[in-house]
Amino acid sequence: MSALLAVRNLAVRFGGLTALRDLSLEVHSGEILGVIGPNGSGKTTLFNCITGLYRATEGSIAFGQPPAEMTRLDPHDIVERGIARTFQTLRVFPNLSVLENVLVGLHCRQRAGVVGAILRPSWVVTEEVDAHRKALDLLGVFGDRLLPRATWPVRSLSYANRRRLEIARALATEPRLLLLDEPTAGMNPTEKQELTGVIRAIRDRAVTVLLIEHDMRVVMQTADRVVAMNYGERIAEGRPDDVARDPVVVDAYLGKMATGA
Amino acid sequence: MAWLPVSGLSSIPRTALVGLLLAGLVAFGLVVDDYLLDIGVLVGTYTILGLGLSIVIGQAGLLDLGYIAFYAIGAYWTALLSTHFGVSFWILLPTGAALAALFGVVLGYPTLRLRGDYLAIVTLGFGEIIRITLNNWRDLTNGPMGIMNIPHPRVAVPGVGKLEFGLKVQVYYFFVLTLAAMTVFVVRRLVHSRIGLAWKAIREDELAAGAMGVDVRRAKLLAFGLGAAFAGLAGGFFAGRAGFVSPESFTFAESVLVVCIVVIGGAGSLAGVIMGAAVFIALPELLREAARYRMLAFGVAMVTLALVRPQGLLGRAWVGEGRDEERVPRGDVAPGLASQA
Repeated sequence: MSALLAVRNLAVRFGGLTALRDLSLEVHSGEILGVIGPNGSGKTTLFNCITGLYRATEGSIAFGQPPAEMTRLDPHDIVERGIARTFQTLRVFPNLSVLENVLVGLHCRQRAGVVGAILRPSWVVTEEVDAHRKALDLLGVFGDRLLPRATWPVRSLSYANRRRLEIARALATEPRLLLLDEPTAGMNPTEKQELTGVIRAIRDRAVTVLLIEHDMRVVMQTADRVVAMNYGERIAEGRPDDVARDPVVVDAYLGKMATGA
Repeated sequence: MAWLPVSGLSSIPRTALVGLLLAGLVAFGLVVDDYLLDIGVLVGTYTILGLGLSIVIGQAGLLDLGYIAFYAIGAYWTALLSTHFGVSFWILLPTGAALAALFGVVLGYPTLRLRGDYLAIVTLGFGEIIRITLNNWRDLTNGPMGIMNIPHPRVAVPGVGKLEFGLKVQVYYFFVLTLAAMTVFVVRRLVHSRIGLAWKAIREDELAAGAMGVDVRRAKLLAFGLGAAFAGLAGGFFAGRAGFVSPESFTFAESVLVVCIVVIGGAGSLAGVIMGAAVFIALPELLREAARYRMLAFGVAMVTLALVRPQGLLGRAWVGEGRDEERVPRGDVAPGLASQA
């Protein structure tokens, strides 16, 4: 399998605080790679680096074939090259409608400029109609959770629906790699189960997934491989079962005392 | 775009409503006396200014307190080139708008990283710099004395001869009505395009907008530039009509007035801006006897509005409250302006 994303010796320091140290990992084309680790282990920092919100202090992030360096690009450039993300702390646009939120994701795949917007030649109208249809399609990924609420303002949505909308909006950018940051946080077991199916369905749409998740059941049911992190370092990597049983990982989560080690 | 939520009057066909309004405005121009027409011209001018600024404040959520500077640039461009070089008004009007747009981008660039209060302070500073420059660069602008005898616009009508605009208020009324209608059309198209959506996304959450592929820097500069272009257009019109410009027309108070026009109508709503212009310009003129209490009344009105209807008179209101229940949205998006102002 070829590496779609290759993170090499990545380090991020904020003053004296080291959030990531010498982190390397590869995401293979077509897989779901789970990233686990206790709070503060650097998972979200890794996402912020890949998506250009943080500048890496050291190291490189190569994406695609042939590999292109991502660490110096602006966030919107990275999206255009095919990496999209969701936010752990929901960042949907509260005063826009559900549909408009998804349309923002489609923005970077449309071409109409100022003149096009004012004169609206037929190609611009076509582009808008296509975008509208695609946005509705993406809402349909979540069955009837979002579709009937397409014209609602997002601030009236439930927490779980906002999480779903985060995913739909990210998918709208037509990513090759999707970064999901705790997509099931705050959901009940039924909703989690439903989203597990959606994550697998996303992979079936030829989107590679990098998944941060605390719920091990979700990780076990979706991830092909798992990387475990602690204190900004990779402490384990492998098949989900193996990583979950790895004493180093168990220690990281529960502490040495709790395991009696 | 059919799927975008339309305003509360959706039961009445929109085109019929707009046609009726335009017919009313044309009839107004044909019937009323010069005094009322003069007020109409003022309302038209401020409508153009308000619509331009509504791009910056209402759409992109950037609180610009120095907006009147671009109005000054358009006005002085027309004043200087027509008096010194005899350049035609019809060339100066669009080029003045273009120059203002350029200034909008140039002044916008250093503020890209600023938000909310900080942006307001810096733009206020820019506005004052332009005004003070006009006031003190005597060799170019004649300082506080201003520039007089700016030629009024004229058009050659085939077969009829030359139509001098001169001081005929009615001609200016229909001229500004045309300009304002064009402005409404253009701003409306922009607001409903993918560019308008990018602006709204930035207003809602700049970081998330960037992370969803919106080129935030480009979109902000577009907002500054396009917004300024309309001010430049209004400025050119103002110079050609008044025949006189001086720095005192471009004070901070004028900037605040335009901000009020945008905010009172509902910062995201174009109809609200037009209504705001009518309220803020026409009412004080018509209530001249009560002029002493004008500012007081404005203050009371603004505070009342902020308390009772923070989204502005015609801002989008979403009917119903609560979590994830059936509800019907109507009108334009209410921007998060309260948190910025």
